[in-house]
Amino acid sequence: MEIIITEEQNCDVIKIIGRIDSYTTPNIKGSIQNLINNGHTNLVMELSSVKYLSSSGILMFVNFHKQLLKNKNGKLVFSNVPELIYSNIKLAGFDKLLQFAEDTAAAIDCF
Amino acid sequence: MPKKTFPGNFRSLALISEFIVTQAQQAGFEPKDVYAIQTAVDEACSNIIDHAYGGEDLGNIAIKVKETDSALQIILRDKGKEFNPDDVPKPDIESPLEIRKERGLGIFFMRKLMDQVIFEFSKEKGNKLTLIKNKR
Repeated sequence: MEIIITEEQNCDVIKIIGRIDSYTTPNIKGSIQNLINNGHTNLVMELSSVKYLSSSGILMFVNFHKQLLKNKNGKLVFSNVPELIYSNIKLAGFDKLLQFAEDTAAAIDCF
Repeated sequence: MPKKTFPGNFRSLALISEFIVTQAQQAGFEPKDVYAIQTAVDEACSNIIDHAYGGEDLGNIAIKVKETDSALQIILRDKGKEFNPDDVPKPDIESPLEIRKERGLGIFFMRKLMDQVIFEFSKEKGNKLTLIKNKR
């Protein structure tokens, strides 16, 4: 698993490559929390190269989304979510609650 | 009947997925069903490590895959403490995001994505979980 963070004008794009499962989730969680703690609270999660997303990964994203909503200081927008991954997010009922954009440019425009 | 044993730690999850994906593809499942099977097995193994063993590297996970004309059957065994799925609260997928309680999503996925999920326990052999996906 690899994380590439690119700073844009109004947000940060976090590209995750590989699997998001119980093994890799703690590292990803640490990287995102670190960004938030440093005031980077407008976040695009670019998931085009994610091969698998487990329930632990979905819940991590939901908890970050909640944290940002609660503090009213930012949000998460997901871009390029592979269809099979999106279908599990939908199955869990989070498709209506999280924000999705078709591609990274559209996600950046949300900020 | 392909059979493999993996150490009960989270590092094993990627290798377990690789093994399961290969088996599901060889059985002729389409990508959507291969991903469903991969998800169910990954969630099952995470539960074994978290709940049956209560931590990493406390035992193994033995996986047996059996293909029939009509289905793929995956049997997972561990020697952890008895896992009772009824002890895990059902996930709340209806409430607003702000107040929703997140738990039990792994078992929810297993039940939604597979055609049969059977939990068994014996004092001698430990937990046995059978996941069945029908061929369409």
